[in-house]
Amino acid sequence: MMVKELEKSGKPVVHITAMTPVSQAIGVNRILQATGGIPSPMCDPKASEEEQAQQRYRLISTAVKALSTDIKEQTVFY
Amino acid sequence: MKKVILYINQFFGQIGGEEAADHEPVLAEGPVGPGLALQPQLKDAQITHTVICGDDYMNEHTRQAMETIEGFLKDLEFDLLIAGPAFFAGRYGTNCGRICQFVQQRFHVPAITCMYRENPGVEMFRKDVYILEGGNSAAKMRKDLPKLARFANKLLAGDPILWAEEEGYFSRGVRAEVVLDRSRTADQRAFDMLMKKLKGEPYQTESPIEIPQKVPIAPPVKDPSKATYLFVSTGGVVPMGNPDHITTGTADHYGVYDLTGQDTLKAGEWESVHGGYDHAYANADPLTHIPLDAFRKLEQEGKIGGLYPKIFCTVGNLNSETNAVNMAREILKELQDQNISAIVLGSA
Repeated sequence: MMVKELEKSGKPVVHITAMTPVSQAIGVNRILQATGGIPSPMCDPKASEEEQAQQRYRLISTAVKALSTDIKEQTVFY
Repeated sequence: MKKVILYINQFFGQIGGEEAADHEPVLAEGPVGPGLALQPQLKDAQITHTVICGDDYMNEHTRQAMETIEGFLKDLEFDLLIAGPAFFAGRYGTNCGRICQFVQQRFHVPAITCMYRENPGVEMFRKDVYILEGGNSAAKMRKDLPKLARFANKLLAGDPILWAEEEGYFSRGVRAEVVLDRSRTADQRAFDMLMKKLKGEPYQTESPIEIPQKVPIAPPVKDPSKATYLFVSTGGVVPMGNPDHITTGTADHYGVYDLTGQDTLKAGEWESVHGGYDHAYANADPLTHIPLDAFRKLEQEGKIGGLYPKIFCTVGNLNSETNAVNMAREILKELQDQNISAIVLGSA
């Protein structure tokens, strides 16, 4: 809901969430599947520290990519 | 005898017109203004006090106004708050919605108001507050007061509150079961509805499907290497000690934290206050919610222009659309002069 309101500014917003179906149902335009789960969305806390850092890097890189992608309809990125 | 508090603006409180719109909240004894006409319509209830507040004051100094009003109310006993009616007055309607929402959350006492369908207060607060549908100008006062009184009397008597159309309030999106008379079971109602539809007669669905409002897709960032990205989190990870007192759920505000010069976030300096998940991972590593290191790496590689130095953090748990919308609007207002190209919002 915050995502949608923020997007009314005309700036693209990407929603990183573990619960993509909720985001889809609400009608968010750019959705990015979180790497981890709800308690730890940005990376898998059971992976090694190095792996976790890589996961975060990949995730945010995809976020940046999503924000640069021209979309015509609601899109879930992975 | 039940006790009722009335909330009205400076105009109906007879303090003044526009020139008094910046008036601080005051507490008057007994009913004032429309309260005088409302009082005889209430059953076994007394308007013990009236809160009068300038519409501009409440709008521009909301937190102070709420604190002051909280101070008035905290030592009073009351069973219900009635605000308005606000008709089509946008500031007034918004303020009536605000005060009702606040009183419900803070004092766990029902609070109701009444305003015209197009008053912005309706869309902002209908999900959290019973807003009765009222007329579009003060000339409709004589019709609106009985609506407020009737509904107030039901609430005070503990009578079951039926669905929106039946009671005259704006639908709140709440589902509840009501048992109807045996002669009107679902199969009969469905059959009647079908017959009407086949005959081309108007009928009313019992289950309207609400399609969420679409927001136009914002154009993509053309050149990330020159762009500034804002990070917002609703995962509830905040500096240790929660200096901004973000609540575990139904948060109505956010904290702003400056990460200039930091490349990482350390355990022990941040904590999660989100009421919707186990904090073990978040507390052991705040980067699991605020991936600062990833942003810094992208900055160093020149792949993004930069991460906006301040991050905005709140808790998304159990939140209402009203709060979410308000917070988003505040964030945009705070940043309107900054050159933000895009926003990354991380949920829990």
